[in-house]
Amino acid sequence: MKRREELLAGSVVLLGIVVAVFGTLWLQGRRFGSTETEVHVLMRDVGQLSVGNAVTFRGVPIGRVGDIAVEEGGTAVRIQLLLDGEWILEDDAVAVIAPESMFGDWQAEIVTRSRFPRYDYYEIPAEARLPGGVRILSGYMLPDLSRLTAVADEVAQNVASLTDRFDRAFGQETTDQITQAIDNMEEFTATLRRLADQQSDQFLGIAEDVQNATSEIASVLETARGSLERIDALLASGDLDSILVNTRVITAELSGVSGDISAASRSLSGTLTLADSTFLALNRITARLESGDGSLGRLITDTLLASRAERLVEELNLLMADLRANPRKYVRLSIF
Amino acid sequence: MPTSVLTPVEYIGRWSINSVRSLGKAGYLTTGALRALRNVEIWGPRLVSQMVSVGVASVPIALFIAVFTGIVLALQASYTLTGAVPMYLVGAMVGKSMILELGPVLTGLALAGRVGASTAAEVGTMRVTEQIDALETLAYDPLAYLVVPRVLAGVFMFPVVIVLASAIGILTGWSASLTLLDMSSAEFVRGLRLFFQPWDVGFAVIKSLSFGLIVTSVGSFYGFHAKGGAGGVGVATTRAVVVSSMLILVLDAFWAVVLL
Repeated sequence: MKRREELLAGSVVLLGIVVAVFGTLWLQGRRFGSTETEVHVLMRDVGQLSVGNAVTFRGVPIGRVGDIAVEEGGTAVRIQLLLDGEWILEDDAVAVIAPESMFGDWQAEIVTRSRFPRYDYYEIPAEARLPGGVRILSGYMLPDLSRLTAVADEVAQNVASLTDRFDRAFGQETTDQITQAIDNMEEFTATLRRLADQQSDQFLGIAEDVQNATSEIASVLETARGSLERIDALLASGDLDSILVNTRVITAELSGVSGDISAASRSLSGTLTLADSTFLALNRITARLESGDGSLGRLITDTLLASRAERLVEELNLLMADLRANPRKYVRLSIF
Repeated sequence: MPTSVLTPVEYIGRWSINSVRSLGKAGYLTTGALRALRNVEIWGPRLVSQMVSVGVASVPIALFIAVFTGIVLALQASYTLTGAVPMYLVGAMVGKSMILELGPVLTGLALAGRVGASTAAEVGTMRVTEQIDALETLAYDPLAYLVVPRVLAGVFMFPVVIVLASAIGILTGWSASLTLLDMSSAEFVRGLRLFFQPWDVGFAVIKSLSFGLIVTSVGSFYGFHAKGGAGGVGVATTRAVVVSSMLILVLDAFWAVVLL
């Protein structure tokens, strides 16, 4: 009886241990009695890849992830891939870690680097191998849905911020301000045009004065040239007395001409001085008008003052009319 | 002071004193059992028979529960997941649920009824019939003779029974998926392996060990302190089952918080 009990208890215990051990190994994906090819992958991040996840080649499951560990120094993660059977991978073979589906399961897919050349693989020396001849591959992890969602969220926030700024830039308040600025610019342009017209008129007057003076100078010079020709003729004829007499006359005439020229020059100088002072005065007036200084400036810029002045004129008109109509009301003459 | 106010206060005081006294008795029993571990010549010969009684004899009821749990789990997982997620996740749900939760807890509760009750009844009967006093008179350590082999058998055999039950639950869930849900074996196995971690088995074994320790210890405690006649044994048995079941659920939550 006791032996039977021992046999029974031992059998059940052994059965439990066998089921636990082999069940665990089987659920990990281990195949009993078959060879395995060990490959290591180095990469920066493994995402949600875990031990036991599938390893695929051209979409076909060919093994499982055996181990995941951070490299010494924390610069990379080393993944141990256990491939079923004997495998000789291509020279440019790399591993791409990606979600297998949208439900949290990941996989390591062995591909060639030329298939996805733009991925930022973790760089390792070419044909790197462990002491036992175990191949080491470069790896790259594709971003999962949550990371893409986070990036999309960031983009959406930026677009929202941009839209808000556009909304502010083209809002009613901004439109009103731009309209006001255009009105001010229009008013400023009209004022400037009036000033330019006034300056143009004055400049035309000055130019006319200069032209007249020039004509007078030309006339004087013509007269002088005639006189010189006559002197030359007299000298040639040898009639000195008459020449002297004539010279005296000519000298007198030249003196008169000189006086005319002097007068004309003074007139021109005065005209130019007057033009300078006129321009300066105009500049000052323009500056004061622009700054709204002075009565005229305030009248131009201050609509309230203009309206008040207008009302004052109206009231003066009314007062004058009343004065004419009722002089006795304002003026009383009395003798004694 | 009026009696109507004093009575609840007295009740609370009596309950507190009894609780502390029970803790003291439990501590005394625990230390006594630990000391009795030295008496291998007393508990050693009885260990195998207790392993058979606690473990081997419990396998049928544990497997019976596991068979139907696996079937129901697969069907409910399919009912819940159909149209929402791929069906291979039925395998993941059956595997994870059976290994982590339903296998250990349901089997533990079933064994709490069977093993806890039998332990409390046997030891309690020996107590009320003064057999334990006779053992002491014969210079036998009753703790080494009655408690230690039962507790050790529980600690050893509960994990074995629970591993077998979990495996059977997964197998029946697999069978139900193939026959009733039109799933393929490849689909089910893919889901089964998808989220499996070797630590899941370790977690289940640790839980099972603690369940075995609690069920046999509580049964021994209430049996050892049974009073009166057959009625006292009945009360001890009932309390043993209730307290064991409650402690199993408390431990289940405790290990989930601590280990997961």
